[in-house]
Amino acid sequence: MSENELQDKYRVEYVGDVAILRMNNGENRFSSPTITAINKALDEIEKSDAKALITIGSGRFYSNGIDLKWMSQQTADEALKFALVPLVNRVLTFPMPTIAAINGHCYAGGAIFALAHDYRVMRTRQGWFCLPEIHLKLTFSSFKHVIKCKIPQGRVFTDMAVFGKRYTAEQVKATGVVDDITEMAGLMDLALHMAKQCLGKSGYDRETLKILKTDLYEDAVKETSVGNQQLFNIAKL
Amino acid sequence: MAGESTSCPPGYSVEFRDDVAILWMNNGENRFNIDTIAEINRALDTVEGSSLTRILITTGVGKFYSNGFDLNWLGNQGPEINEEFVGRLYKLWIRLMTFPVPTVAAINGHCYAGGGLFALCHDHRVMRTQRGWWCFPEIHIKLPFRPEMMNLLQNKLSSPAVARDMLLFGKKYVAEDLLKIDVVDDICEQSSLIEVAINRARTTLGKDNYSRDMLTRMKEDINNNSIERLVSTPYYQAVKSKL
Repeated sequence: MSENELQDKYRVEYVGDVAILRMNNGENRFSSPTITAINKALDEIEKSDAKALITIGSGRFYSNGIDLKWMSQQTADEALKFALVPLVNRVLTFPMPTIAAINGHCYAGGAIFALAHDYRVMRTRQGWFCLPEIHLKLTFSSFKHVIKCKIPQGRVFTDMAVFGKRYTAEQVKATGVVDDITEMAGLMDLALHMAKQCLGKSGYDRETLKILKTDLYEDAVKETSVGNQQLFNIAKL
Repeated sequence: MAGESTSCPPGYSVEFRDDVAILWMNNGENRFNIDTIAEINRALDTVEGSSLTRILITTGVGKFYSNGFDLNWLGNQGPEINEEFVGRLYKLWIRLMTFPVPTVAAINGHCYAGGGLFALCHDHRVMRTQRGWWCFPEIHIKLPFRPEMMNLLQNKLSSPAVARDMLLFGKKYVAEDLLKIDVVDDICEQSSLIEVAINRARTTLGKDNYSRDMLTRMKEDINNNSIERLVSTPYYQAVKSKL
């Protein structure tokens, strides 16, 4: 697949002053080429006048996380350049309100990507939300503080993060990790509604919001900063 | 009678009712500047000096609990005064967070920004219904918190979603909203506010008294993360040994 063909699977559209990034690449897994495509889309959105960002998948998947097959084919050098950690950092501190519209399965790195957003909405009746790291014999390494700052402490954290429970939309809404749920047909409208409600009359100053997010998620931001990433243990993947 | 504002002198005063001390803030919007912080500290000295006192209530008079920092005054001061203000403010927060008796913020009206921070440094909050907003409007006025303030606030809030709505997006809350998210313990009409605040403190006190020394040590320990952050700032260090 050419770079252009791949970029086409990560398209940006605008509804008023809300930017929508649609991931239309099967399981929407993260590899270096797909992360490059996402970053290009985010670059375009940051350059635009957009005041909010919605991300959404397509079909049965929001994102199933890291492309393990691709990863297993990389040299050690290539694997080191894999930039999911900086991407999560970028979304976490994105200078406008962000909403993950979870249209389907949301697993592992895909769930972490969704958690990095300000808000999450999810469709009902299909799709699991899950951090299955324990089942894959992985720890969260550089994402430990990301999940800590987005998942409530106590029972929810234990079930969701430590023990890798999988959640339906209703179940994850009950934890507070997803803000609202609806049928698939209404999902984008719900996300747009949340964006509108959040923005209010005038939206937010980008610089101020970025500072606030950087301070509120201080530990997660430090942990996912360039140069501070723990390396994935490629042999384990 | 509980909550009567007409009998309250202007400025900051302390009223003793048996073992309860009420710090009345009757200074308009009850904003914080170096002078008002000094007055609050003098009032707290009076409370600490009263050995019979087992409960501290703070409350405002009229439409405001506190609207936060005195930004007008700050804007007219040079950087040295601004920095001294921040240091003295941090000292006050630490003093309040570790106060040797149970503390209740009886929120009688608007509680914005630094006023909310002040209220969160108490053990408990109760709030009147039907009037008054609670809000951290920093995003709207493009004035971010200092990181150590954000750290303090985060530790006082119950969930990531609440922190997001309240601290990032500057949502406005009324008493009923705050009750739902555990930011206040009780809500009531204004006329019952002081009584409800005292009852909350008595519930906390229970049958046993708490040694003042022990309570301070416990509060220092529990809050040690936030306190260390504040203490380690140059602002705090500069005023550390100042009265």
